Amino acid sequence: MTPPLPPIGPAGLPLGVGIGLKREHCHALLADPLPVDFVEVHAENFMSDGGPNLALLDRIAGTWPLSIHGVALSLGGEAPLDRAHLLRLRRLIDRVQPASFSEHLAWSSHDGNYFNDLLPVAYDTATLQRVISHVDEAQDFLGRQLLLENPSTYVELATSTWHEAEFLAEIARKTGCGLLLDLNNLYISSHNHGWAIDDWLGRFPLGSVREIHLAGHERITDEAGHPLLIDSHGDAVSAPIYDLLAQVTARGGRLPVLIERDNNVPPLSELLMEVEAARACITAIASAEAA
Amino acid sequence: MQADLAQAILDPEASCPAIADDTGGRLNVYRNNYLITLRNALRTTFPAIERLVGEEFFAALARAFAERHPPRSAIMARYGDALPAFLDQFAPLSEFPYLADVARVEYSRVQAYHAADGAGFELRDAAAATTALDRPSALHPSVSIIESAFPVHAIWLAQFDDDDLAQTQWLTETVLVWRHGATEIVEVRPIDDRELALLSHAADGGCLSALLASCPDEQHAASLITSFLKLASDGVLMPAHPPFDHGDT
Repeated sequence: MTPPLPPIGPAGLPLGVGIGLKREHCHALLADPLPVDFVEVHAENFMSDGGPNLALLDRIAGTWPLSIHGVALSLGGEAPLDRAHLLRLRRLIDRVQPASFSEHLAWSSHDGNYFNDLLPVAYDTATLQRVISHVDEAQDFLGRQLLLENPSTYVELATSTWHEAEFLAEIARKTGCGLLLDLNNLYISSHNHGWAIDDWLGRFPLGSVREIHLAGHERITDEAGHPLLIDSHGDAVSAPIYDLLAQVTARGGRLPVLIERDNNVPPLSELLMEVEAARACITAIASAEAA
Repeated sequence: MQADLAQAILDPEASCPAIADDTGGRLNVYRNNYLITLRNALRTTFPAIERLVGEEFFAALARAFAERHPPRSAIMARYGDALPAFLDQFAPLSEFPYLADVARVEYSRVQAYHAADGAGFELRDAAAATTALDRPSALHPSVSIIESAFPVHAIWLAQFDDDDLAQTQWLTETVLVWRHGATEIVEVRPIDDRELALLSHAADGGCLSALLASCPDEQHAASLITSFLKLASDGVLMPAHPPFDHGDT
């Protein structure tokens, strides 16, 4: 029996469970695509001028609803947005018409140098204005809504005066962008900075969320002997993250959920077990709500 | 503000007043991320260099390179374009002058994979092939040519084939790197002076018939035609765009 297709989410991604597509899993998954409801790829991995890489992306986009996830737009950067990068994004988006495009509340470039990382922004009013204008510019240029993801951070910046959740809420309110709630990032940042997750979620507009990310993290000890959580994407999704998924689903209803895994990539079968676990978690809450 | 943090990532000695409190040395997480992700990007593009210098040395090399050459683009497949020139100047490796050319081959392979497409010559029959000889040609967008003072192809290949380099004659080599059309196949092979001359002529938009006119003898001409047809059918050469196509993108 063919399983019923999951309903479509507000931004076009289905209200099911997807995975971040790894190259090593591509062929097996394309041969048997049903176990995942959608896939996500990093935009910067497909900015080729032509050839087999773009052909692969076309096949992916023809098989599943696609989420394009950018990691380099530097929306939180002090510099103007890189127009060449925006143009590459637009070409990619125009080519495959993804169900969703998302980026990060972070910066990654300064003075022409690219740091290949999502660096923390100051939650102050000047930065807020800048991010709002960058999100406006990106949405205008790309001709579509983008989803903005909450970051994982290891340090807080000296000039921050806003609460992170309210900072994101204000950007969404002013720009009309959607939000991508990364529960692993929320868990990591809350732990690293001593924030209360309940308080964070209470200030966050769950109604603007169009996608949820789940991932694994690593626990280390910093030089002062304090435990520090690292956003490694190198491990299975842990129990506290599933608890958060259950909480958020109970509060905000079903949303498209993505499992991210970028390091220590396991066999596909293991990732698909995580997809099932996330599905079971959402379904249990949804059935409890319906009862 | 971000300048502080950017500087602190590139230079561990730099202080970072932008951070609220760094008693835990948490900025090091960002420094390590920067170095590790760039090292991984370089490993992906330059596996033969890593085998040639060893994993440990490669890590140190990647670090030295990343500190002096931060990426200028967010596309990691393009990172490392400056590595060959860096290797040429890198004093600890001065006894291994061939490394830079091996790096050029490896970088070219990755660029070939991501390069634009280009429609090749139609060679379905003898008449089509004869027409091809008279058309101005161009190199496929994926093509790179590396002229080396070392047997760079043999050195590169030996890193993956366990070939015995002791059997290799230590001569100059010119290497052609290209992708077979829209396939995933990126080829690397040595070429001789005749093929090099033919490719240089084609790169300037010349057609083969012009080159044949200056051939000293028929044998030479026949071998040029054979080389041309092989390069054309392998997708190295393609017809140059007719003039009316220019600017039509």
